[in-house]
Amino acid sequence: MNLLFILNKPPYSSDIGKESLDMALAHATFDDTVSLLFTGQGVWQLKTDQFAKLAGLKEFTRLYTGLDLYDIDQLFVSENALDTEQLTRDQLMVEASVLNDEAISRLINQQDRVFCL
Amino acid sequence: MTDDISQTNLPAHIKVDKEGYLLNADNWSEELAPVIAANENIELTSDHWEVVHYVRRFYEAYNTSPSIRPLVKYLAKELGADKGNSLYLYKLFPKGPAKQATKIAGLPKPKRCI
Repeated sequence: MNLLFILNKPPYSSDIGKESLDMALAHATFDDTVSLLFTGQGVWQLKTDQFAKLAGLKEFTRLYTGLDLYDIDQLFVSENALDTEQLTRDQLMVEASVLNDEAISRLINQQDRVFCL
Repeated sequence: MTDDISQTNLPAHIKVDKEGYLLNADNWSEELAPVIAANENIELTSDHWEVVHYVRRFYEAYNTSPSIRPLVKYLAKELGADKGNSLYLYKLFPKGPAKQATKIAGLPKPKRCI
């Protein structure tokens, strides 16, 4: 099955980013084709230099750089969200495909299931 | 396994959970590894050490303990297919390479791990 997880919330304001990632990893274990889409404030999940430890938090987002080891190779970022949040590609910790809104619609339509926690 | 056995031969200030994983990964040192390994009936060879060090590198890079699949892929990438395969790893760590290697490396038990 083709599964898409949409991450649209910042990394540390709630557990939702971490929970979404856990869920995506679990699905990838079962040989589903898993893609992640970062949109809205969710683009901050991919920001380099988070220094979460300074706030006493576990920097779970570092795992985004190792997702190929978990058979998740498809990472997408909303172009619109990057503009809105004033982030550039080189501020992201991974190489993700940047998609405009039209391409995002196509991506969503290709999926069997779409999750957004 | 009871608490007493998982704590066997470890210094009193090194606390472990009921399965023998260190409660605080920062308490790990190379001297502890053979002691934890002995509780798993493993005598550490240089092959074991290599895996233990790579498991710790994995943890430092990604902030999570590897389960078996990512561990195999990671070792294959770093050391080649001879060592990045589950048969090789199971020979070293018969009761589950990810579980035993992370325990000996002082890291938390991997999630989603059989």
